[in-house]
Amino acid sequence: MSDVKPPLLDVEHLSIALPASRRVDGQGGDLTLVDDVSFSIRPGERVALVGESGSGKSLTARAIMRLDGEVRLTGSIRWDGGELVGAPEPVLRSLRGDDISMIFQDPMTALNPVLTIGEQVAEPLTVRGMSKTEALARAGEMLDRLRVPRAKERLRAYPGEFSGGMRQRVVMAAALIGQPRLLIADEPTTALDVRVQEQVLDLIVEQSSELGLAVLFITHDLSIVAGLAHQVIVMYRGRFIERQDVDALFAAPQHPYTRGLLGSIPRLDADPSARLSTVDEYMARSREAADA
Amino acid sequence: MRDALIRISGLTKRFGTLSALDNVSFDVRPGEVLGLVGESGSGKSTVIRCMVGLTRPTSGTITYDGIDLATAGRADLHRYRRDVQMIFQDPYSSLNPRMTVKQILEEPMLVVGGFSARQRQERILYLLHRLGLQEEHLARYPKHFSGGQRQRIAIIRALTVEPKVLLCDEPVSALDVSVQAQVLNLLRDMQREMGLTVLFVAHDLAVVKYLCSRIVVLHHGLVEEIGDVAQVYGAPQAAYTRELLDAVAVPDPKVERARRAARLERLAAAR
Repeated sequence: MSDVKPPLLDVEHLSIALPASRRVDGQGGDLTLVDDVSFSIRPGERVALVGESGSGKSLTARAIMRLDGEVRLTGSIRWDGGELVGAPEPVLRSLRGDDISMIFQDPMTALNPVLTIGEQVAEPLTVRGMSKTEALARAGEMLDRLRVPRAKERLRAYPGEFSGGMRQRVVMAAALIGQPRLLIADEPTTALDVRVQEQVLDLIVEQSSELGLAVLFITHDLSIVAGLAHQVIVMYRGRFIERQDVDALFAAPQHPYTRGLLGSIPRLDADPSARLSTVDEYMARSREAADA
Repeated sequence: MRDALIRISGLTKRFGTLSALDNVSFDVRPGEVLGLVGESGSGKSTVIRCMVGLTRPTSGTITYDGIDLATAGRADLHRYRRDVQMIFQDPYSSLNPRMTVKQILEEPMLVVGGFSARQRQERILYLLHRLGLQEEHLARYPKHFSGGQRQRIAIIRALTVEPKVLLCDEPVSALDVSVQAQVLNLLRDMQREMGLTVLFVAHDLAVVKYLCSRIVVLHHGLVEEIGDVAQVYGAPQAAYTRELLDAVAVPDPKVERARRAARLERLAAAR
């Protein structure tokens, strides 16, 4: 990875708050959901955003494309040098699906069940004015590239005829067909079986390497991050915990929370009689150490 | 070899022309944690559904402690339903949202019968504390709890009637890794303390290795392999088992990158 390339995406001191008027818990004041997160992604770089449910990892990723209109952003999100926080809607619209694409956890709900696979993969091109015939031809090529067997014949199939793993490839094809520069993948393999998960992750790494595509990968599972990411950012309860190169993070995690996350992974190469440690235990131990 | 507590023999379930289970046979021995492993569509949930009577097998028998469930009388079935309890995958749909935690935890004892109000109260409080929840939680509703807390409530509910067997259908696969570790440790503690027999259905082979002593591998409704965990993990006999083991991610960047590079090279060569 070359260090001379300027970052494609540069997030600085990003905070996300729910304004008092939108709160449903009856309490006053703005509710801070994500507090002061900074990171950057260079072209071709794969960055993993890791944390548990409620850590704010998805909100952070969604804020880049401003998918949640009701929250208020402070700080800075620069895309290719231009500021996105406070940018007008047309600027964001041209970014979504064009420069930045996103794939989600559940390939069963991400696709429209009454449209054909071909129509859905080709849509990012047809909305940009390409003819349907040409867009469908490109969709066939993209599906083939993602190793969907007999891709061209299956353009007329419906999502219901595909398995979960094949649907996630279709979702990826639709995300990549517009040749984005950044792919945001929000837990894309959590709903999949292990062998299928491995295949989808392989495809993400392969496409990213071949196309110079930057990837922001969101997950709660550090074990799948190991072979995928260059950089890892750990979040906990809306706060930034640590950011490291993947090798450094696994070799020497700095924060007790990260050590807890690593310790809680059941490993095939571990002695099963050794008890799994939990995040709470690590955090409690570090508090004791701090008090002592 | 010890006798089987539960014996599944020749279990077959067809839906039209599709065989969800095809002549599946295995024993669950008393006091063991048996892992039942397979991917979506392997038939592992169908086995559990046949065991609790949610679906009727096309053929084959299930016996519990020598009783054939298909022909068992009322008294035997009553004992079976008390002895064998279940924990489901999704703690968001397995707890009734309109019942308080107290009502949820009391219900099995009321259904089974024979527990006085005082016994019910004592049993609930003991398990509540043992699994790290507080008395004040009893008056609350499921929506007030996180996924991990809900799964602990579901475990308490299963344990209230002092069962001998727990059937666990993917009980940790909907949870975050750190919460998963907590629930796995609790299941392990409870199993040892209470001498429970556990049938643990899962797709994650690392989780199964942590918890189980023996393993049954299912694929497309057929048993691919049965054996002790050490033996199956050390020297898997079925090609399918090897594939499943190879797909488990190792939290080590160098190992994972090398494995991925090798796979991608194979794929590129096959193209």
